[in-house]
Amino acid sequence: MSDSDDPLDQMMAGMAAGDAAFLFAFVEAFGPKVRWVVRGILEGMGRVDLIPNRDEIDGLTIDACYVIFHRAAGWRPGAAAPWNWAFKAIRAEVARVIGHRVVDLDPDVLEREVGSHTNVVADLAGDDLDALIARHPRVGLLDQAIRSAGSHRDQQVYWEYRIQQGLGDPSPAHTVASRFGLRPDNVRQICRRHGQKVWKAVTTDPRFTELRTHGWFAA
Amino acid sequence: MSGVDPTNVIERMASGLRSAGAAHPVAGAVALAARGHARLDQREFAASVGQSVDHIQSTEIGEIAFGDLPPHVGNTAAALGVDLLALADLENAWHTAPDGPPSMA
Repeated sequence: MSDSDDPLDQMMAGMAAGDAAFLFAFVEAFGPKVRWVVRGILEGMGRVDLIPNRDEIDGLTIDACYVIFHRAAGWRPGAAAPWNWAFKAIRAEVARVIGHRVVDLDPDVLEREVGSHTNVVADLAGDDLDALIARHPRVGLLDQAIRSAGSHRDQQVYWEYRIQQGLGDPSPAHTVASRFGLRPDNVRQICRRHGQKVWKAVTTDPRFTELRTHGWFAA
Repeated sequence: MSGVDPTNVIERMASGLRSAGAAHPVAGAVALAARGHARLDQREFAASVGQSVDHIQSTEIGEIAFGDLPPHVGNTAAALGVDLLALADLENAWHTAPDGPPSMA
C-alpha cells in the first residue's frame, strides 16, 4: 500500500498490486470523473446516441476503469490524473467496444448530432501527432520545445489547446477542458504559463533558434 | 454527476472470477466490493472484522458460497445499494447453466 494519505494514491497503489478491491474503491470514488471522460470520447466519436443509455455508459466507464487498473503500475503520484494519463488507452478501448457505427443514416438524427458538435473542431490523437512529427521535422522540434518545460499534463493541455485554436475551434479552452477534466479558465491559465516557459526555451536554447520565427510564437 | 451502479461493477468483477474458475464468483466479487468500500488491504480488513486473512482471501477468490458469506459483507453490500437479489440470481444462473451468458443482461 502507498504511504500517501491521498486516497487516489492509495487506490492506484492497491490497483498496481493487482488488488481488485481497490478497483471497486476507484470506481466508487472516481467513477464520475472517468464517466465524464468516456462521455467526452463518445461525443468526439459522434456517438451521442449512446450517452442517454445509462447501462451503456456504466459499462464503458467500468471498461475505462479496468484500463486504468491494468496500467496502474505505470502511474506515479503527482502525475496527471489517471483518467487523463490513460486517455489514449481509454479511447482505444471505447472504440474497440463500440466499434464503428453501422446503423442506417437518419437525416433527422444526423442534423441533431452535427448540430451538437459545432464546438468540436478536431480530435487530434497522439498517434496523429506522431505521424506529423515523422513527416515534418519542424513539428518535431516544436514538440521538443513544448515538452522541454512544465509537467506532462501541462504539455498535453498546451498542445491540444494550440491545435484546437489553430484549427479554428471557436472555444478551444472548453474543448480541452472537457477532455482533461479541467475548467476552461484553468486551461487558459495553464496555456498562458506554459506558453511563456516554451517561449523562454525557444529564445534561450540554440536548439530552437529556427522556431523563433514560427507563426505560433508571433505576437 | 452520478456514480456507476455498484451492482454493475460487481457483476463485471464476478465475470473475471468466473473466467478464472472460481466456484462462487459472484460471492467473491461481493466480498471484494465490501473490502474495496472500506479501502483496506486484506490484512487491515481482516483485523477490522475480526477474521483471519486466509478467510478473507477465501471469500474473495470465490471459495465461499453466497449464503455463507460473513454478515459484514452482506451488510456493506446492502448499505451500498447493491441489488443482492439480482446478484444471487446471477450466481444461481451460472451454477445451473454454467455455459450460459456471463451477464445478467
